[in-house]
Amino acid sequence: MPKLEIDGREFEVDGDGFLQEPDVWNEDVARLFAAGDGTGEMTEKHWAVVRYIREYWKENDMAPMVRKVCQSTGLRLREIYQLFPMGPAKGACKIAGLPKPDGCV
Amino acid sequence: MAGIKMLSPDRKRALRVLENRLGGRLLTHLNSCVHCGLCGKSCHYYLKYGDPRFIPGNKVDQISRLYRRYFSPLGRILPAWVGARDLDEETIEEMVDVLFGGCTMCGRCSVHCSIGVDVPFLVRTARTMLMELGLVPKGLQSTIDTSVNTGNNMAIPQKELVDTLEWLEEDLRMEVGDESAAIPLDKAGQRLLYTLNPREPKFFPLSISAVAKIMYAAGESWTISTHCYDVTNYAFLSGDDEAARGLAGRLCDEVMKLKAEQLLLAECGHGFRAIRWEGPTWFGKAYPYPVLSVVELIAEYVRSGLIRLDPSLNAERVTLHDPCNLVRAGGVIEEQRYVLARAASDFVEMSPNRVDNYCCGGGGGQLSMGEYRDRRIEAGEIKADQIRRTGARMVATPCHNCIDQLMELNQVYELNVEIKTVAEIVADALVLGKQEN
Amino acid sequence: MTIPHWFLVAGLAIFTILTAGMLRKAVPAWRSYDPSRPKGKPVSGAIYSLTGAMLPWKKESARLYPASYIIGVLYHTGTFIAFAWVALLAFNIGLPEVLDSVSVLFLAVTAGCGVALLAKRIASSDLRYFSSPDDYFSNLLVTGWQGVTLLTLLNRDMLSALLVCTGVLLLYIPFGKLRHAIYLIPARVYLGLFYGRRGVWPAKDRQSWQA
Repeated sequence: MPKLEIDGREFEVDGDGFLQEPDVWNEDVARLFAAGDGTGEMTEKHWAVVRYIREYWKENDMAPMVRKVCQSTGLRLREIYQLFPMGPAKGACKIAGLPKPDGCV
Repeated sequence: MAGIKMLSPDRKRALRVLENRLGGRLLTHLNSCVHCGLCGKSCHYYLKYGDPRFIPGNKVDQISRLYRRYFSPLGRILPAWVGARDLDEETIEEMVDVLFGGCTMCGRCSVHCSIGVDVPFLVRTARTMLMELGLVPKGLQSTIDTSVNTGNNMAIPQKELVDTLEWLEEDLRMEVGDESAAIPLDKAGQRLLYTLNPREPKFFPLSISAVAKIMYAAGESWTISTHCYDVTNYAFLSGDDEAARGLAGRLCDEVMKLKAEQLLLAECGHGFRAIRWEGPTWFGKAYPYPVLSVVELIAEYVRSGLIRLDPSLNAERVTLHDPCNLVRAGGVIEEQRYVLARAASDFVEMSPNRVDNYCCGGGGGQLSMGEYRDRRIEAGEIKADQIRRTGARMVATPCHNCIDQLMELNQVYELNVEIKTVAEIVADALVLGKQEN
Repeated sequence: MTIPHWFLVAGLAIFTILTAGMLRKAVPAWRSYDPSRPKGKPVSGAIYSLTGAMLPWKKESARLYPASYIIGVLYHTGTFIAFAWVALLAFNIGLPEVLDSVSVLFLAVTAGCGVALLAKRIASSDLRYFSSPDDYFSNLLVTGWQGVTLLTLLNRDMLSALLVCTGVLLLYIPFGKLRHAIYLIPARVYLGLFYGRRGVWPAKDRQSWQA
């Protein structure tokens, strides 16, 4: 299993860098992931998205539709793409510690 | 002499795939490669790594050496003489690594092959053999399983899809200032049945909005089925014909059910190829209705004057990435550039382009096979350099799979570009309102 | 007819039977393999595949490797010339002597090309990686046979050797990589039908869609 080392901490991740054991996730992990993938500093808006995705996933065992992210955070769609240059899947979901979704992402 | 009889049942099944298909086309291509190696530099993997495993001729050999071993006279008697190989552990391991992990089935090598060997055709046949051995990489297989089991490759519940499309419809009405603007759902008797890549409603719905806006401007009669809409066909990529036929068949049934006149495919390279071109082979007959890409439709709108574009609304430099499955293997070559040249004021080609274009690196199912992620990104450097040389700020590509790979290349190679579908760029250039004549 | 003559005739007969059998399995399927609605003309694609697509500036394999391309073309031309000479010599048909000398020179060049290609295969670790003894042997067989043809032109006493060599070559073609001589045209036709049906070939040099 590949390991990702950020600032001296090691995480088991899949080939695309998604966390293997979603339970080891915490906000420090999120910050480290964000710093590593071009998202940069986590602002309040970033946190609102990430926390919502995390909660939704815990309840439903899947990532939310981006519409739900918009409606629950009050952010506009285009803002989400600006906040997470890698997009909602490889950006926000990864930072939120979700496993990689299937499909063209 | 260990023949087929000595093999385990799954290996026998794998060889039976080969045996059952040893008709004209396969037989011909299996017997044609002369190992000249001149194809190496046509492959983005070989260009990047200089590793002989990635020379297309060696990819051909992954399957032709099995053919020689079990089905050719000299290979049966003197396997070592003709480089024939037993279907053993080591052979299989190299097949998986090279054919799943080192090939996007982009077909660039075939166009330039000194003989004319159809390399992706052979690679796909070999993948079918590996599928019989249960060796399709996990991410690719689970994407297929999700499609088969839930009706779309992201397991989107129908209600979620409907909510998202209704939400987009609201947006569309606001944007065009017309309460009658619509994204018609499950409407029977429309001219076009449109499909989606599940990635669009789930994560990137701007491309749906763009198409809806274009349809609105053209006054088109269209609908989306909320029961069956997934344009992707990952089973085409894994070589699983039975699943591929099933997935394509569902869409065909939906066309009949909704009595649409034509099936309109979203900007999805492999989906277009699988449904438009490969489906008839799986069904053994042509479709009773036309199947076209939304790119072809938009080009027709522009050409006939049904929609009007103002290129100054896209003032930044735009370049175009040609998806292999839509262009080289799909024949949609000029339509997208015809449209972009009229939708953007500074459209430039990357070089090489059209049929000679390099794969983005994410094709052939690579995007779903996480185990080869690093290779995918490294081999994508060729594409990144192509984009950089154009000086473009925006890259259009009519394929969601390419888009995702390009987004990653954009970040890794710091290209500082925006990546969009063709429809998104067209929607931004649309001039609404009455035509002046 | 001498024994070498008979050997050649037998070799040719077996070659013809085997080749016909292989082509019968490979060729007829071209009509039926793809039922999709065409965007272009499959037959035009096939014709282009055999003509325009083979032009060196169209093919990267030729464009990027001009030396290999020229050497390869010469080598194969040598094979055709040698076959022509075998036919003439076997029936003891003479040509103006100047053609003998020209052919000797030409075959010296083409056999040299064969040697160069063999040397390239031996020297390149990339090519060695997926080469088998058959690849080396096939080259040696053809190159050597071109050489024997050359020697026979210089000294007709070599004729028996040439006839035997030709028989061996004909017997080997259907079994090893030299099979490509049988499958080359079907392969190009199948590829051409594929791209032709999809409207990819014949390749257009400029935008033509708007018309």
